[in-house]
Amino acid sequence: MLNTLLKMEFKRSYKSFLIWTSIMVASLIIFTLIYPLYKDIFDNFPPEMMAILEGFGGIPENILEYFAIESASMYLFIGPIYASMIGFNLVSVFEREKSAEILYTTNVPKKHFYISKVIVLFVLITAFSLLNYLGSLITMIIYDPNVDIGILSLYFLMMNISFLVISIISFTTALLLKPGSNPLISMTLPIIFILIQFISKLTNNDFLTNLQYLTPLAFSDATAIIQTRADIQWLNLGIYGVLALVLLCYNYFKYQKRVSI
Amino acid sequence: MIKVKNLKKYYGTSRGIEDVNLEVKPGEIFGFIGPNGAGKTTLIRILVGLLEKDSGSALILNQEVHMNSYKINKAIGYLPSESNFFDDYKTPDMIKFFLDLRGIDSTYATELIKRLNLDTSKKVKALSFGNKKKLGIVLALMHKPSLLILDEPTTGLDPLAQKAFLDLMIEHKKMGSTIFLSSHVLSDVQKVCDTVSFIKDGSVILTEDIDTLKEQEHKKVTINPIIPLYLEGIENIKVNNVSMEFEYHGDINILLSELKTHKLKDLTIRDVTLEELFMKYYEDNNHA
Repeated sequence: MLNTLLKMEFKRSYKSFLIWTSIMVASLIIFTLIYPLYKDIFDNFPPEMMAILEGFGGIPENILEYFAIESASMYLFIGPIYASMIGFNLVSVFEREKSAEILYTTNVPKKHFYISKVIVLFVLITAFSLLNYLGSLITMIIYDPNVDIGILSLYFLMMNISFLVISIISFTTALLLKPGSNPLISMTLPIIFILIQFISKLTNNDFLTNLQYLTPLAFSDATAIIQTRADIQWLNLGIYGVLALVLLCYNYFKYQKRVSI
Repeated sequence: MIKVKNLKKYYGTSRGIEDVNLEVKPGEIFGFIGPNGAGKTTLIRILVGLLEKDSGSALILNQEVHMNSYKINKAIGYLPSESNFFDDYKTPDMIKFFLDLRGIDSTYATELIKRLNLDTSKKVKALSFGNKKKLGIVLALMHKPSLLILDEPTTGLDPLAQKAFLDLMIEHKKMGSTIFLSSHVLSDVQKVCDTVSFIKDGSVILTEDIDTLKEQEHKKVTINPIIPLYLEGIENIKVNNVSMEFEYHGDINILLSELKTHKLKDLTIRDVTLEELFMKYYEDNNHA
C-alpha cells in the first residue's frame, strides 16, 4: 500500500523535480565556470574600488569563497522556494484537483498518505541538495583540485537541513489554511525567511542580529560556513531542528483530522 | 447495513443536514432523492468518512462512522458526484493505481471498462465529463464491494452508459451488494430501487419501499370529451376546452366500469411517476 503511494507521489513529482534541479544545478555550474572571468575583473579593479568592495563582504580569495558570495546567493534564493513548494503541494495538490474525495475514501489509512508524503519530502529535497552539491563540487575541482571538500559538504548539508525545515513549515502552513489554497502562498514563506536572513546580517545592531532566530537559514549561511570556516549558528540549528520534529508530529495528527474537501 | 439516526451537520452557520433518519437493509438498492442543496452529498460524505457529524449517529455494518474510518471503507465502493482524478495520469494508469491500492487483479475492472465503453486511450484530463464518470464507476465497482455509495451516478452518462450502469446495479444487487444511490434523476431510481427516501432542507421527509409507494400512488386519467363523473377517489380535476384530467385514487375497475357508460373519443390512464409523486410531496409540504 505504502509502496503504491510512494510510486504515485514520485511519479507525480519527478517532472517538477527535474526542472527545478536542472535549473539550479545548471546555474551553479555556470556561476562556477565563469570564475576565471570574475577573477580577471577583480584583478583589474582599481585599489579604491577594491576597498569599497571589502566593506561588502570582501573579495573572494579562492573559488570556494567566490562560491560562498556569488553562487550561494542564488542557491539561497531558489532552494528555499522549491523546498517550500514541495511541502505545500504535498498537502494541497489532492485538494486543488479534488481527487482527495476518492483517495481518502479508500481502504488506505490517512497516516499512510502522510508517511508517504514525508518520505517524498525528505527524498526530493535531499536529492536536490545532493545533485547541486555534486554539480558544484565537480565544477570547482576542475579549477582547483585542492578545494576544501569538507567545508563545501558541510555547507550543502546545512542548506539541506534548512530546506527540510522550510518544507516542513510549509507543509504545516498548508494544513492550517483552507483546502485548495493557492500554491503561490508557499512562495511567500521562503521569501520572508530570506529577507529576515538578509536584514539580520546588515549591521551589528543586536536587535537586527537577533532576527536570525526567526529564520531557519541563519545556521546555513554560506559566508559563515565557508569564509569563516564552519562558524555555524548552533543555537539556531537546535531551535529549528526541534521545531521541525515537533511540526512533523503535529502534522501527523493534523493531517489525519483535516477535512480535505 | 446503514443506520442513520438524528444526524446533524452544519458548516459554520449554514445547514448541511438537519435531522436525517434512515435505515438501509442489506441487499437492497436504496434511492436517496432530493433537490440540489437538500443535504444528499453531506450525508454521503459523512458516511464515507470525509466529514465529521455534529450530532446523531451513523452506523455502517454496525460500526459508528467517523472521519477516516478506513476499515469500514474496505467494504465500500464510493462514487462522488464529481469525479476528479490525477489529470496527469493516463486512464489505464489511474485504474492500475487504484487496483494496486486495493490489492486486487484487473479482471473485473477490464470487464467494467468494456461494458461501460470507457475510453482508455486518453489522459484523465482529456476525458469528457461522461467518461470521467464512467472511470469513477469502474473504480467504485472494481473490488465488488458489499456496499456501494453512489452520489448522482447517472449524471453526465449517455443513455447507453446509463442502461449499462443500471444493469450493473441489478447485477451487484444479485451478488449481494447493498447499494445506496443519490439522484435527482428520479426515473433511474424508479427503475432499480427497492426503497426510496426523500430529503428536503436537510431532513428526510419520507422513506418508503418502492412497492408501497407505488401502491400509494394514483393514476393520471385524461378523458376526451368532458363528462360528469362522481366517483370516490377523484381529485384535482383540471378541465380545458375539450378534455379533462384528474387524479384517481381507487380501484381501477370501478373507474373503468363508470367510464364504460360514456362515449369517449379518447382515454389515457397512466401511473403517476415517482417524480410527480415526489413533487406533490414537496408542494404539499411547501403549502403546509
